[in-house]
Amino acid sequence: MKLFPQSLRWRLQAWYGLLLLIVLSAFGFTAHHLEKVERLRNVDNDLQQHLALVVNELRAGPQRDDNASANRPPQRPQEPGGPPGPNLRFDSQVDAMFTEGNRYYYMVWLRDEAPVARSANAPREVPRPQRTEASTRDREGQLREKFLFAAPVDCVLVGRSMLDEEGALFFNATLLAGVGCGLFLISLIGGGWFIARAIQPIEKITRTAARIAEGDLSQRIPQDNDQSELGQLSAALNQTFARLEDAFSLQQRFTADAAHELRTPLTVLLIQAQTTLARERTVEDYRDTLQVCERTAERMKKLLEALLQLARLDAREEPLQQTSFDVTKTASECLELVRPMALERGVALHLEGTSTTLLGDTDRLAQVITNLLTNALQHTPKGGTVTVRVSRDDTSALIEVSDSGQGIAEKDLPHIFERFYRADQARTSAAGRTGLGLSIALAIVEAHGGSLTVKSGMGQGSTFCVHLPALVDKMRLL
Amino acid sequence: MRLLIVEDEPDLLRSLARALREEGYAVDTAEDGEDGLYKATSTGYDAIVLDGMLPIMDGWALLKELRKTKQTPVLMLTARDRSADRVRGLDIGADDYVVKPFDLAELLARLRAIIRRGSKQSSAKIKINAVEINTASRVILLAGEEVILTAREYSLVEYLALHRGELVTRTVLYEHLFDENDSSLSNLLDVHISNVRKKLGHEFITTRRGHGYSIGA
Repeated sequence: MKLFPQSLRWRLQAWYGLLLLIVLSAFGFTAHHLEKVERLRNVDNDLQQHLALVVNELRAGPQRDDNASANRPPQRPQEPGGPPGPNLRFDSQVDAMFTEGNRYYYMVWLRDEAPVARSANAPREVPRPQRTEASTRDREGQLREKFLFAAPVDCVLVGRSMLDEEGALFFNATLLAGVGCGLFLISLIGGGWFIARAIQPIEKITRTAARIAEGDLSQRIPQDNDQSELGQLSAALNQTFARLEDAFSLQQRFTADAAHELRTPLTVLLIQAQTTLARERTVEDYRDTLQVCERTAERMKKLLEALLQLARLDAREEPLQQTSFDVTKTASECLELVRPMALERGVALHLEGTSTTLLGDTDRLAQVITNLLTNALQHTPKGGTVTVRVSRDDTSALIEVSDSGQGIAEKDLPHIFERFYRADQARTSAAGRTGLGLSIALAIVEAHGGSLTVKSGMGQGSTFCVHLPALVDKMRLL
Repeated sequence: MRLLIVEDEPDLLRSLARALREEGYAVDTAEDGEDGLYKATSTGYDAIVLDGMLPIMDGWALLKELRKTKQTPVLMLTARDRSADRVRGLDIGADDYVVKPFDLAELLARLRAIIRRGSKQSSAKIKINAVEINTASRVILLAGEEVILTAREYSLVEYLALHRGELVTRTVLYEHLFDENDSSLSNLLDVHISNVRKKLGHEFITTRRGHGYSIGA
């Protein structure tokens, strides 16, 4: 795996980590803040209760203190500066609350600046609250105080230290941060593993594509029944690779076959020339040699022309001529062209069909018919017949070329339009066959948007059918 | 030396046969695999020139069948220079191959090499007493002087020399010196033998009456 910043995996990991960090931090800060608010609210509630208690106690204090003077107004507290007034005594329960644990303290003021009463644990300096202040205040960062301006005294204040709370808060925050960091690390590693797994197919694809680029077209992306998008991509790419390989191997085979077909006549030329030149010959010898050479060169020329024509058809270089013509008339011209060959082989030729007009490339369609006729003649024994039938319906014209030959074996049927394929394994030489006639016919018919099919069985002869779209404005142009 | 050429392309077959006959070989021909296999198994050839692509039975199948019974040296002609095609032939038992198009000189040299290998003779020069036979240039020296022999006479000497010390019967000599087109007049062989003796000395070829001939025994 690559770890440089451009790597998809690296970037995914970085973004994922960043997002995780933001989410975890936000969660942590929110939790911390909520806890802080909650704790403050509890403290404030407690302070409020204590304040209420003190105030209640102050209001109730004198009656309970001295039953004889039950109805006199609250006693004026002791003079400022004195010790906490003896007459400001509280219920023992309340007193206990303010001494035990030393957490809460209270102060009581009359009109003076100095307090008239205070609990023993109250801090030394507590400024007298002002009436303009809010009823709650924080002091020195660690004290929280609540006060009330209420009768029977002027101001009552209850406070406590926040050190405990802040300690707990800090401890919780640390815990939260620790757990958060742990979670972050675990998620980062887990996420990294998951990303690596998710990216694995991409790396497989890259490796395979690289091997294919190096020239090994048989490579495929390994597929483990993956239905994800990447699995589908792999499947699609594998199909593409397979088609590429097919096309490539077809091309390679064609090139090899073409070379092969040219090698044999070339060998003849070389051997003839080298043998003949080895010593002095008679004029007849030279003439014989030259005749063989000429025949061989003619064959090479024919083969080259066929190869070039196929190459041009493949490349769609030359546009088809579009002329209106009578197929039946063209077929009869083709029959005349092959008649000498038919006579030589003792095969009868027939033409059936009435005038049928088509739009297309006359010369090339004539070549299709001629190629099919030549092929039929080559496979028909002496005394047989070769028949051309032309018919049409609303949408297409049909040209059939049938022979009474031995037919084509089932194993050969799928291959007979392949270039250089020969059912009988016989080579070109006989009758100047190039092995490309049917391939050329197929290429031309397909260029016209038509189809070329064959029906055959051993011992039943063969019928080649050319379907051509009759209305040619739909015709696919080269 | 008698050769069989199996090749379905008539012009190539004729050209090769002509070239090899002019080199003094007796040459039989076959145009398809079936005929080729029949001839190859029924006759003792010194070497077979075999094309890979043949009708009815291809060259590789022919070779496979042939190797079940005979070890005749085989030179394959292949039109494809892909190593897979060459390896295939060599694996089945071909002794060598040439890729079309080839030079006649190369074909002849390779043929001589596989024929020599077939008779356990590794050098192109064979020396028997005062006679030196150069199978590459087809020149025979007697005590350093070149002796002019006809193609048939040369073939006779070469065949016996390649099988030096062995008794070679008249039948075998006929089989290896004459091809299917030669007339089989039996005194033809005697004429060649007597001509060779005139040129290279009477004792060069030993006659074992009723059995055959040998040299360098």
